[in-house]
Amino acid sequence: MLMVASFIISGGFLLAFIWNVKSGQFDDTYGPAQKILFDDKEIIKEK
Amino acid sequence: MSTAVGSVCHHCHNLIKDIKVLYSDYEFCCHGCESVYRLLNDHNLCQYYDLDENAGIKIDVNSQSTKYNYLEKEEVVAKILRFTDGKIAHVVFHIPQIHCNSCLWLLEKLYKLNESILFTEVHFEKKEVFIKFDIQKLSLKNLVKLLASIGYEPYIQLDEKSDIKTKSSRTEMLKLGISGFCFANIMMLSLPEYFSQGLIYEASIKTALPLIALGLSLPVFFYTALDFFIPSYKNLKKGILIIDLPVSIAVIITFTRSLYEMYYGISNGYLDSMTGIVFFMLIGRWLQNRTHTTLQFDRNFKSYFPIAVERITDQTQEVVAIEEIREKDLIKIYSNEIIPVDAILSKGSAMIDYSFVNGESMPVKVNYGEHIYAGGKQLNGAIELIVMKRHNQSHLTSLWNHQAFQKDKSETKANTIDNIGMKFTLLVIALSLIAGGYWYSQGRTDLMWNAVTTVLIVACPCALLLAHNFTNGHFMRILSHYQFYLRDASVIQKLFSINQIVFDKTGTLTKAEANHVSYEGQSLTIEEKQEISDILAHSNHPLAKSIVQYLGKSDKTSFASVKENTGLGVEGWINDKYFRLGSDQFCQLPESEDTKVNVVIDSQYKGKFHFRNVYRNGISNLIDHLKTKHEISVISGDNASEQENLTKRLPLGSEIRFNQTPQDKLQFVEDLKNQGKKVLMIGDGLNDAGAFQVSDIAIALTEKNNYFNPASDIIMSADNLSHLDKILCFIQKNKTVTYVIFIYSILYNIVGLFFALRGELSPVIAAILMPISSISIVLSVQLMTEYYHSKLLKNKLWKYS
Repeated sequence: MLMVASFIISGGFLLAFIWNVKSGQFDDTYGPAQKILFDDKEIIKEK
Repeated sequence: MSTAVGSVCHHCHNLIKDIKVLYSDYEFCCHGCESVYRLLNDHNLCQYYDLDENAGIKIDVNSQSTKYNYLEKEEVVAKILRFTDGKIAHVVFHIPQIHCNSCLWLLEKLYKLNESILFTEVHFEKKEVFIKFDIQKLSLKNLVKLLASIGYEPYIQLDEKSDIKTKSSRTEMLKLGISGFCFANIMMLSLPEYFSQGLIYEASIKTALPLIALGLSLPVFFYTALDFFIPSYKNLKKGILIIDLPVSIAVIITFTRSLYEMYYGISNGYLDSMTGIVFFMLIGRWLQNRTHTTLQFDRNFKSYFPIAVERITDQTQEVVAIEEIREKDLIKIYSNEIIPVDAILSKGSAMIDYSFVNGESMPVKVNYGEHIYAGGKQLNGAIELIVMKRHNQSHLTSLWNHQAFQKDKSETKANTIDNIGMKFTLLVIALSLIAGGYWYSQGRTDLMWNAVTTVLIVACPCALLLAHNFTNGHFMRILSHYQFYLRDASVIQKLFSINQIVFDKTGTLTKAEANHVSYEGQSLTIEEKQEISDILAHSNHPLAKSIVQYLGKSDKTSFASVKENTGLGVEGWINDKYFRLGSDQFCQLPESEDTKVNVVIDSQYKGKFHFRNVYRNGISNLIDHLKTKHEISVISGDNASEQENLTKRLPLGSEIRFNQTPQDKLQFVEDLKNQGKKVLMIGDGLNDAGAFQVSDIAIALTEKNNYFNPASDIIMSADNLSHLDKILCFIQKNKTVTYVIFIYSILYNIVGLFFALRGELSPVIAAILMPISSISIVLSVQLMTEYYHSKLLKNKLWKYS
């Protein structure tokens, strides 16, 4: 029984992984990580 | 704000040399940089400079606005756009300049620069940007212009290949994931068996476990492992053994043996080992391949030429694709454009820079009615040309018709088998055959099969191949930190055997654009120097510019009446003195070959300015180090004026050749190879392409902003050329690592075989030892490469990026 459960769960992960790869999530492993760090505020600098 | 010499441009961070542009308290090296700053400032985008120190990209002020005229053509536009419905258009550009967070940030903020741009998304690793824009308000041409104006000039090529690449890297990832999944699950399912010493009492579980394992191994065997089967089978048919072959044999044998044993209930098989092999091999391969997805090693001359040119027909001018240009067409070439075809000059004055094509460092003056060859770059002003030959028949492209280019270099490369791995494989196969033969002669066929497969499985050559893949992957990754990019791992093997290094001169040993000026003759007064500088400031000729830079510019410009005779020299009146500055012919002097500018004041010969190439830093040192192990020669398309300088730098007896055409270079390298030499060719331009093709290893140097390079095996940053010796040394260590791992795995196998043959190895231990062997190999490879890397760093600290 436990084995069946483990298979369902791990199978789910595998499907998720396949889906992610197909949708191109692993194509760019650098850009998105940086983008999230950009502040969207308008910074007007006086120098 | 300090105005001392040596201040740095606020935009591109280059040292400010002669011109200084000031804008709102910041200093810029040129108007291009300044205008980018102004644009960004106006749109509140100056955060750009805060995100990354090296954000700005130097703008080529010389580029022409007419350069993108071909983007007005509908067919061209249609080819480039991914999608359009007449209102909205989608386009993907390859922008090689993308290098840092700031680029990412700015490109995604493009909509602030122009409201017709609706959306942009940067793909950092592929250096691509996806743009959605309103094509009714903003034409493709203007979009490209906008990008170019902020330093991100797209690299446009009409034949797209990038899609295929993405797909293959995705399937690779997919296979890796699937085999990892199957491997882990099979391992997990094997645990109960290991710990119960093969004695499971629950009958249903006992039968179910191996079946599930079998089910899990099927996708690995029939899908992911195909990566090994197909190439090895294809090459075997051609009679070539490749590195995938032993892996395939091991995988197939393990699988069939497992099936056999499971069927007869002898054991649960070795499916965990099999999936493990595949999984680890795929990881190793992925490590090797992933380092640089954006570099192109297989460019040919076509990517160097413009896509389209302007054709003049009966009062009208239209932009046409190069393929459509026919003989006797009239075409117009603007300043700094590359001439795509062999042609005759019909209008305008031509100064052609052939440095990329034949290695001549000085531009050539072409007169009306004379030939201009494809690949040259027009330096000043627009010219009109009558086409003589179509683009694919030009003098330059004829080099590509040489037989060396007929065979596909990458294919022959992939077939080179790795010696150590192959010997080991053959040894293992021989061993298993001997064992099998022994039992066969004893009439024990059952034991025969047993022996054959056991030896193959236990002494699996995969461990070694695995180590090899990992070592190569690590080395390539480390080397890429030093802007030293290998085409693939087989290059490492080939580098071991190199014993002859051939350098190109212009652009390789020397800096392409820089000249060292010196004056020889009667000494000039300060006044005269100033006057010469003033006169030459009127000229666009590179030599004149070099001299002006050498003499320095005055603050007060005296009035001068100057006439420039293109290609000959400059004459001018200044302060009641008549100057003639220029070539021997122009100054009525006996002609000689070296590069110089004569000075004649009031018909009196004063002296001449000499030009010497500026060598890259550390070249002498590099050659000193290299000569201990390699023979060195230099071939140059340039004239012999550098002979003396070069001879000083090279070891005695090195061959130096000047005035070499690209074909000569090819021949030179081929001759060396016929003498049994293993040739490493280092160059930078199209003129080396032929030599590249025939050499064993070709290294193409790239300058910071020049992203074109001929087809080669290695691309390296020109700034790091002086460290080549250290890099080569480091690569040699690859051998050491492989040997150590080799010995280690042999010992491991001997011990393993010894126990296995005596039947003392319980299944638990054996099953646990197998993955440990792989993991320990991977770890020791990592440790050793890092050790050598740290030694490399200690040895000489150069910029580690």
